[in-house]
Amino acid sequence: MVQKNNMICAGIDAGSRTIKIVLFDHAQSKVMASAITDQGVDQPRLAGELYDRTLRETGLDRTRVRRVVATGYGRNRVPFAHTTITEITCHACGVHHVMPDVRTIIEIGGQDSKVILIENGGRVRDFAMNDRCAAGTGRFLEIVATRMGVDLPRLSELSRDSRQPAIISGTCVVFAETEIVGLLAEGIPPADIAAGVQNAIATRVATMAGRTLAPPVCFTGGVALQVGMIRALENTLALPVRVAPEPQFTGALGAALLAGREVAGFR
Amino acid sequence: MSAVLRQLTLEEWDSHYAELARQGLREPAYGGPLRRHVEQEHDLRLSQLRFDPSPAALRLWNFLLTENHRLRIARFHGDKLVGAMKDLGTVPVLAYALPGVRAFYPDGAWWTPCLMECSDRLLQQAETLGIDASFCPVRAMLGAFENEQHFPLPDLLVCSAGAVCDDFSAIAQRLEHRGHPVLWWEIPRRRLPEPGEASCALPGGLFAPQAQVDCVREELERIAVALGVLAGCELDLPRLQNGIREANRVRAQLGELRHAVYAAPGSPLPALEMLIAEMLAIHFCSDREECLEILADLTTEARHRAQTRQFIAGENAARVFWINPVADLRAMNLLEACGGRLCGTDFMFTHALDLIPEDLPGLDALARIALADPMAGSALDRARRIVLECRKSRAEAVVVSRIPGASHCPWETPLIQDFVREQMGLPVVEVEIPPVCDALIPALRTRLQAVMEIAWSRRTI
Amino acid sequence: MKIFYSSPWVPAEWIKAHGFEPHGIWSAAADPTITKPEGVCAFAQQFPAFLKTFPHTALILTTACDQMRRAADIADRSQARVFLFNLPATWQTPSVQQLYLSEIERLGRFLVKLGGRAPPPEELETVMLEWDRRRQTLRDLLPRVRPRQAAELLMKFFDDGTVPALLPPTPSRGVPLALIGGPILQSQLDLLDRLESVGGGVVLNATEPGERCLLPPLPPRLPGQRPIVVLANHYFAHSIDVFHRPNSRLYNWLATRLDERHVRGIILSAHVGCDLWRAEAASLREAFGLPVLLLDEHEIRNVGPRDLTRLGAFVESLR
Repeated sequence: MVQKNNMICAGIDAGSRTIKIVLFDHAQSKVMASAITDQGVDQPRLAGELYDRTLRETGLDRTRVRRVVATGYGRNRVPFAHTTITEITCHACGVHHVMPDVRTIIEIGGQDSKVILIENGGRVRDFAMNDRCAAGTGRFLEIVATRMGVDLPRLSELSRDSRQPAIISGTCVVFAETEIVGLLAEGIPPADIAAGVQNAIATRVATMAGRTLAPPVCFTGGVALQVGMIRALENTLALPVRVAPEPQFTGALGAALLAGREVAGFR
Repeated sequence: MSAVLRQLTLEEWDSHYAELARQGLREPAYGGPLRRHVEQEHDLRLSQLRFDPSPAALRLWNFLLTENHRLRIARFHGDKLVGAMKDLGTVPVLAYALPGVRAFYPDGAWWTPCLMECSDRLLQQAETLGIDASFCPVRAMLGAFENEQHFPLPDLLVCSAGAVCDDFSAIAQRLEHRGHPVLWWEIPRRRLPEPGEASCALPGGLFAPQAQVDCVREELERIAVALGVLAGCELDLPRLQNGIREANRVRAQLGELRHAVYAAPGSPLPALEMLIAEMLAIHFCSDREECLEILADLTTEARHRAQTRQFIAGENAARVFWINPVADLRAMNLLEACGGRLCGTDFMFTHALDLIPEDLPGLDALARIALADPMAGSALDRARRIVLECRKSRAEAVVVSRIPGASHCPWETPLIQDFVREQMGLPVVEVEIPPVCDALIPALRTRLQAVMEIAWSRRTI
Repeated sequence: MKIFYSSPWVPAEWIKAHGFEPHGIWSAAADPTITKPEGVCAFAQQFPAFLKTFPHTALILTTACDQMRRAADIADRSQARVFLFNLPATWQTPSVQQLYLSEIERLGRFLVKLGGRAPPPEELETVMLEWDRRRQTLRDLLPRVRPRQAAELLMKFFDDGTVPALLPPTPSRGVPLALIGGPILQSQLDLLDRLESVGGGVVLNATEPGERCLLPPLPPRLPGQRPIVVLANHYFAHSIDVFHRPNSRLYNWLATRLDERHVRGIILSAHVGCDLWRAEAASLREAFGLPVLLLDEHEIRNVGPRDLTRLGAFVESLR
């Protein structure tokens, strides 16, 4: 039985590649714990295990958690969640909590990317998503990294040495991969290819944002850990881009915050 | 206190039908349980849809799903069949003004892959004919013309050209290359009159140069002559005026239905049935009189539900203005499942919803209607009308359904989105709906739910 | 002031006669390397921002395709130096012929508003005859030069109206091919050399601005006939393009030339997002019984090793 004066809430972000959790204590307004695990076929079990493990490591159990909100691609398959809220609203809430002045959020995940426009007060004004095509997502970076025989952090470092980023013109990541093979065969430096791919993703995101993008801009999601992508976005948008602290967790943080608002009776 | 009515699955309709039958349900000749369409016509998609539980909706569905059969019967009885393409609402007014002539839209075959869950193989057939998935789902009609297993081949094919979308134009041209002669007619790209140029008011608050109206009128004269030859009698003025009057009866009835549903505090009829009902306006689903009765039935049902506060989507549902029709009908169920309801629509044929002026010479009036086609003018004109309608309908969010492969969507959608945002600050989400969208349901659900969440959060401001 | 026009069916003579320098878009258009929304034609996508790249100019777009119509919607919002010319898709009736003439007259009023001068009939006729003479010079030159050179000549003519007086003949070689399709940009003409390098020779360039855009000789003006009417009728009667409905004129035009020049294979070039040309691949095959190779615009612009292999294999299959 959950104690009524306890204000610990959990946010679960069940993404396409990983599941993240944040435990937030609303009474003290602080994150108690966060954790991540790989996604898999048996998501309900994986999410449950992550939840219990995180609670255990924090000295808690399920009875101590007042409310759980699930978000992300797999949000409807988290059986212990009380409600589900889309990741658009959750990322907005999470970013607003840590960076209240931000007006545009760019979130690039493993399989999709989003641009979220925020009003004063952290409300979502509007959003755009690319969830149909791997170009413009972290998946593209993974494919390129594999093709170039490096890991993702190394790919990000490589682009720093680029003198002339390659032009990647394919609208589809499969064709783009073929282009990269062609570029490597023609002796184009890997640094230029890496930078070219990052520019292609950044350009795709910028196209998605259109004219509605307003500073300050925050970059979040797993791909925000890639320094090269931050550079590419700043160059493409011609705006400074700030990275959310612990960018993989902003969705789960937002979900935990919204769980607290549900307990308090409003959203 | 309002009640939320539940939409039924196909299985639930089986029992519901049995119960209605016991209660003395009266149906037209084409009536019957919905399931028979799955068994006899292979309309497998019906098993995935959710339906309105009323007899009026049953009649609507049976009417829609028996159209091909109706056309075949009509031909058997000596009627001439006209395949009107692209103009969405103008040529059928002419055709139905003549005795023994029916018009239908072969483009409507775009729903066949959805309804038959691609078991029809029409899209594959189109691909073997060189029209692949980079073209819009209307390409299904190519397959239908080839295999002749859906609608009967029309006696006359009429297709508008000019200010039309490229993919449709390409598909229609391919059809002609495959041996189906087409009577092409010009619809110029509508523009504003220039200073000093004679101007003409069109329905929907639009304007065009008189010269453009004259051009379209001459084109419609040509079509009228061709239809007259087909029918074996002239499409004279009295017939034309009568045809316009009758078409207006349908349009007026549809207007009443739309008002009864979209203006109600909750939604008395579901989005899916409203999409189909609106589509009836463009060619009356091959039976003008029956179409009128069905729309009247639906209006009666909607009004009754509104009065007794029985709603499919309750008063808390987010009011959504929907732009463009969907290739997969299941997407309309998703709107309500995500907490939304239709409060207004622009399914690309707003000119077929406006009343045809009856105080003007018939062809002149039809020319004005044809030029008022949202596809014939600029995307900005269309966006302006959408904003007007959104304001009237108190829309809280806008959904733009992108038709895969349609050439106008990638340009139009951002312009409409930007304009709606600028003018009204409403959240606008784009969703792309292929003919079978099952694999995309999670992604579509996220987009629709997110826009509902924004709409609800704005209510607390 | 430079006036850029985007279709060979907008009479450059008319622009010239108003005192402006007409320039075809194909030389000035940028490489379509910008990532664009899916479904947007790579050629049309640059038009909304075109005038920012070329300030102090004006742009004539046409309704030849939906993509360009939509580009004009956006371009039109931002500046008043864009003219959308309504090119009729049908061609069979006097009313659409009148529509075309009206559009030329309307364009004339636009040019006057930009500071041009409505030409007296005799001045217009002088320009028309000059352009006619230049087209004839081109027609004489084209069969005598290699495909790349021929394409350059056409590109130059449609760029600024100039044609060299004489060129030494250089024999064309290779398996005779037809290159059919929509806009080919200056930056994409490498394709013709690449085809030669794998043993093919384009003997029929039916792209834009290719040979199909070169009008036949002007008919003599009838007494009392206004030059503008002669101009309009001539363009209207001899425009050969894919967007016409029906597009039988294109097929008839191609049939004669494919046969005359013993073409053995067709390369169909289409910008990604261009439905009108792409849809013709199967019809071309059926109509002429020739193999058709479809090339996307990024393959035209950047013939990499993979594409060269495709082209080479295609040519080999025709030998």
